[in-house]
Amino acid sequence: MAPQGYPHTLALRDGTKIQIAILKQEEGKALHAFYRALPEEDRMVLKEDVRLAAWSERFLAKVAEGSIICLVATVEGEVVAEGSLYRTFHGWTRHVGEVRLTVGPAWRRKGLGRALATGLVKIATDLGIEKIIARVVENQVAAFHIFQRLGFMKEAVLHRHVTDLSGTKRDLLILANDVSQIWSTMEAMVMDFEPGGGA
Amino acid sequence: MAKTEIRVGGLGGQGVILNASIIGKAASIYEGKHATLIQAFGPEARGSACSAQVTISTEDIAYPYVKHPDVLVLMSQDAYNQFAPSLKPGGLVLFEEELVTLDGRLPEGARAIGIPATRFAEELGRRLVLNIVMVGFFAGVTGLLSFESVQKAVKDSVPKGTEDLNMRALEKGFEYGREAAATK
Amino acid sequence: MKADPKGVLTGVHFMDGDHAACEGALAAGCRFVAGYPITPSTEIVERFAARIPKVGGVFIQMEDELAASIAIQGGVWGGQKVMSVTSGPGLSLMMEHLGYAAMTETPSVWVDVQRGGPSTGLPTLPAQADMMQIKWGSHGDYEIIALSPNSPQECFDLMIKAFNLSEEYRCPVFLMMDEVVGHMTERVNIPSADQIDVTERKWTKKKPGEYKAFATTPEDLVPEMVKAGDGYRIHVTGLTHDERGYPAMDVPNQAKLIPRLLNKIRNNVHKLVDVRMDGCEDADVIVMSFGITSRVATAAIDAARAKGLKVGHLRLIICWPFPVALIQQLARTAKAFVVPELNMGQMVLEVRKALADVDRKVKVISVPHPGGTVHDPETILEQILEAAR
Repeated sequence: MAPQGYPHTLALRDGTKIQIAILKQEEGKALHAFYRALPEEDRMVLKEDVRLAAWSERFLAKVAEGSIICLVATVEGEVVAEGSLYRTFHGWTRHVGEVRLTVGPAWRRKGLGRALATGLVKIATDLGIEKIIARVVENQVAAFHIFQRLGFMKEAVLHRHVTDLSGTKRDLLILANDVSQIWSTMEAMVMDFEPGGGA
Repeated sequence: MAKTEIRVGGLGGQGVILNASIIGKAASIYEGKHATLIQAFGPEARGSACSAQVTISTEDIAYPYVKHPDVLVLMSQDAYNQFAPSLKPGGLVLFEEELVTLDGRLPEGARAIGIPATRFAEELGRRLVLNIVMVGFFAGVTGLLSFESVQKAVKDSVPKGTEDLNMRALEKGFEYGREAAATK
Repeated sequence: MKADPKGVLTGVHFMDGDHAACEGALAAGCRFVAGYPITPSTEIVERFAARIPKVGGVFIQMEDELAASIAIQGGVWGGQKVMSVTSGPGLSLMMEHLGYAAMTETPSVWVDVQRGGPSTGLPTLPAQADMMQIKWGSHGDYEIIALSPNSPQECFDLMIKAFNLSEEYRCPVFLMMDEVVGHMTERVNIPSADQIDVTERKWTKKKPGEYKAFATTPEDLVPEMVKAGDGYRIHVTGLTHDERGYPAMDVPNQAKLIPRLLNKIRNNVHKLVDVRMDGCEDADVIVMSFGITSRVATAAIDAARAKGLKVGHLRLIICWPFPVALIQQLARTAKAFVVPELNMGQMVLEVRKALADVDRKVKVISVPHPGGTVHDPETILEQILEAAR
């Protein structure tokens, strides 16, 4: 079932109206344009070479099959930020989803990242995904705070795992949010029985 | 509207109490009626008989027990076997059709409507919401509670983060119930 | 004085008696509870413990009920409003300290969620068999006040009343719940804090040196109170004591103290009548009930009235002191009292006592029950019909 509540308009603190929507196949070009326009230091922390057309094709294919759920933030048709939930249908991590966010340099510190992350966590929960992770480089403080506020905890550190533009090796933090906890509260509520019937 | 006496029965772990509690909450908080809920637990833990008595009325409820329910909401065969004979003649049985098989012990003139609530819950993504489907079903068939009231009561009762799925479960049960009431 | 908004969960709730009782205590200003868990009362203190981080206050689980019943009294003399919560077996352990509270005039609320007894009995099932115990269970002569709610709303309302009465009379006040009312869920309206009246402790205005801890006047038998840390030198003892609170173990002091402790309540029984009456003025048969039994009795009374009988319902909200004068007044017109209770005949004894001095012949019929579940309305109806013959 499609995520509910999209598209919707988000009003930023400065009054700008941003449209948040599920990526449609025909918007693939606009999204690719956004990525190609990212400065190099931002592209270097992405897993893949997003300048390549092949990447864009693979991305759109995964969106079509549902293993990527992509939210795009647009202002007058131009993509200014994107957040995606990556998941698999088979395999040993089929209960896990990963959230990745990219916010255009001119649009940072306006609450966009947080809005996208919140939306994706909700989508993941509704899909029955039990654990969500996010990979954050040790110096990506803003990203860290976004996830921390959403209840993510630092679960693992991969030391010297990321090479940045200057060649410096940085730690990669794996943040995790075990959303199955919410459902365990509900499980407790349907338990019905009264323990401790004695004394 | 006089009193409506409802008994919800099932196995511990199906959410019998939550189901009855939501019905009571919807009636008393969101519809301004009176509602009293009393529950009974089985002697052991999960998996044994559990039932709840809910009385809804437009007037003050004095005697809070349900001896002869107007409506039975049943989620297990045991609960059916135990409570079906106590139904008022002409009363209504709402049952989970894959877990409960009806037989001759229902009184005269009883109406019985089933719902594959467990299947619906699994299709929606979690078996856990079975009892919410049944709440929606109850509201849809009987018309005793408006959809808005049960919706608010469910939102109020389930943990934050689970509202969406529970809402869908409620809607599914309600729509099915409305249709069933119209055709049966 | 109005309630402290921090402790008032204003709103319309669907909650059970135990939870409503806890909210009543918080609304009344209770900020110290010492307890020991016992079914079916545990939820009250569990909720209290969960609520106090936001409201402020302290909950201590003590090692047993002996400790709990005295710890709360320390809390009182430290300045707090307190309660302890228990059921039958725990109440039995609290008896000595109940006497201490009465003797030292320590305002405190004692909640008993009654269950089947005696001894360990039926931990998860209801009864109303502790009614005499609270009145006579501690040694010596003492008076207490006891209230009996029959719904979650009353658990909230009467809990506040209990706290207020305990401050007004400086005596132990009991809230006599039962397992059914404790676990029954109904709508509870909790008003805003400015609509809840709470009675302030009778703090003295006298200066240290002037103030005598247990001094009273003939018009006002309730002494003024202080708390630790205010600069007063006081002595509080369970021994027979004088006006300063110091032990004075002689006949004259006993003769002054004990009657005053009793008369504090006895002189005010007319103010301490709280009942709900329905159709008693011209009734032939009056059913006297309290707590959950009152709701069962209603079904029986409705059935009897449907048969054309004139049946009145007298529901006790305050059970102790027992409304002797009211019973005697009703006995002038009624033919019989029918007293159903979830015990083998306790409050019915008070009816018989009250009628001992009444000239008219009035039947008193007990409808006892060993406990574990409520009466079948049929049983009560049978006795009403019998009484009407």
